[in-house]
Amino acid sequence: MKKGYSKITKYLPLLPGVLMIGFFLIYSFVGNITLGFSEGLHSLKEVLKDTTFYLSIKNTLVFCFFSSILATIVGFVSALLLDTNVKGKEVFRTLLFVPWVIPFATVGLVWKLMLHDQFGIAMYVMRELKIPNALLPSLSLPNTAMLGVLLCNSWIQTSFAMLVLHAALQTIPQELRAAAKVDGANYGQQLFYITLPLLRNHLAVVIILIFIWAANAFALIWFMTRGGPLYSTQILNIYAYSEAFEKFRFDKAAIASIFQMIIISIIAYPYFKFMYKGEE
Amino acid sequence: MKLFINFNKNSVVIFLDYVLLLVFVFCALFPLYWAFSLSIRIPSDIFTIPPKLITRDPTVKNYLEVLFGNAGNVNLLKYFINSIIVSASTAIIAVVIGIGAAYCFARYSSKRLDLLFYSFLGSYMVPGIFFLLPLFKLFKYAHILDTYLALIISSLTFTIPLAVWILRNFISDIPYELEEAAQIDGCSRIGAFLKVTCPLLAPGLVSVLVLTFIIAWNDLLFASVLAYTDATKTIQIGIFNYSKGFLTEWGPLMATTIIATVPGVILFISLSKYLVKGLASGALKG
Repeated sequence: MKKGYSKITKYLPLLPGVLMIGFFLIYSFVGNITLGFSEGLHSLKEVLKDTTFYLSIKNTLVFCFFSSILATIVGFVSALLLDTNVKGKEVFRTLLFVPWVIPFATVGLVWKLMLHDQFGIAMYVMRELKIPNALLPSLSLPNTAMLGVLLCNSWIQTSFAMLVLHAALQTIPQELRAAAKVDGANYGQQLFYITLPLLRNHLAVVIILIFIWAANAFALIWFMTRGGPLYSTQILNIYAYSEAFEKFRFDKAAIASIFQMIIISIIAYPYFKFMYKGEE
Repeated sequence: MKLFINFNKNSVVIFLDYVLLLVFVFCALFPLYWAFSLSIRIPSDIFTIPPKLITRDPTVKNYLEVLFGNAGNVNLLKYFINSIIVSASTAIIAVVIGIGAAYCFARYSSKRLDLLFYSFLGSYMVPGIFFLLPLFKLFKYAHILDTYLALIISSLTFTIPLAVWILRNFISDIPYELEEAAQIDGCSRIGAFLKVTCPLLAPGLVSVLVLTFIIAWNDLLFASVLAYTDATKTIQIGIFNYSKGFLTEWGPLMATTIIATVPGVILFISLSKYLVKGLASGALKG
């Protein structure tokens, strides 16, 4: 085996990918800082004075946090339901994954119509079920619009959670379950003392991924509410988008996206620490 | 076959299981059914109180109107084709660029490589708008706004990391011994990879291609800014523009969304086995 040129050619296939991603990252870091501070600290001060900026941060955290928790819980329940002897598991799993494959435009718009105050079928059903008005996820009221958008996003991401957690459940060794059964553990005990601990990493991965995707959820919210009413569903990247392409303030938009980058990094850091340690 | 309790003996539990699963499946599929149902209805069937579950008088008028009507200056057919070109190109390029990196991450191991790999994943978490702002300025300066190239490059920001991630897991699933054997027989390292591993990698490659296609197809953020004439507008923009002007026309609006849903669903149904395996394994191994 030739050892001469090996180091370079060994890592050569990495080059295109690393170059591209490196370019994107470095160029964007430099570019956003340049754009954001093109007028000194003036833009930063303006952003920090915007009440909608803080509202956007709050909306982002609420949207991301509850989306990931809700989707993971329901997805986990679905995965458990599939982790049995039911016939036609594959079919169920495929059908349950459909929401993830539908374009956001379709999902957003059909949910918007289903939640329509007058003619929406989901609204109608919920009223028939005597759900109190304050809890109806109406997209036209500032107090409840976030709920509607949240439910929709959770609906989509539940499919993903179900898929990953179902695959994760399959990796639990048979012997472990048989041993627990022999020891007389019932379903609940097996769930808490065996399944959940073993699935800890996967649950974390799912929660963090859904959180990150929710923070990036531009299309869904844009189709459903465009950030309204009264900025009640405006998450941070919509704030940045609106500043850049509706108000033509690229400086404020860049500052906002830097903030979003920082927030996401803080959230994602424990995930990376988790995974990095896990690999050793 | 996994057993928590001996379900075979407990038919009540199995029955409940089925019922719950059916409820979940209903919730998962109803919105798609609803979009389709609305798209084939006449207005008097749509705006009813209480809403009708099923229509007795289906019509194709809505589809004809949005496809050939040029309502609101939305040329849906052209946008559909644009989306196909951009998404397919993005998928192919992402895989071609990514597979090399995936190979290195899968076959070699070093602390530095691990760090690099997690930086790749990290870039996947960067918010789209963070890339969009500087890229927009760059494309404007380079006069490539409103071109397929601009759309493809911007789509690569979020598809390459994913492609690398999933491909790496697929490649590590294939034992290196096979390539080693080929190398002993005289193949070069790359030759061994191409001749031995790649054929085995085919399902994984297909699933990554389909996945990146669907993700690129979905993009609204970049397309809304980088494409502003009919030459490059994607179908997501078409739907959005249509919804801006014709939000009250639920029938035709749903028709546009169903048209946009068709490719993804077709790809998914025909390749669901691979897709599902690809995503699950990718996320499982982190």
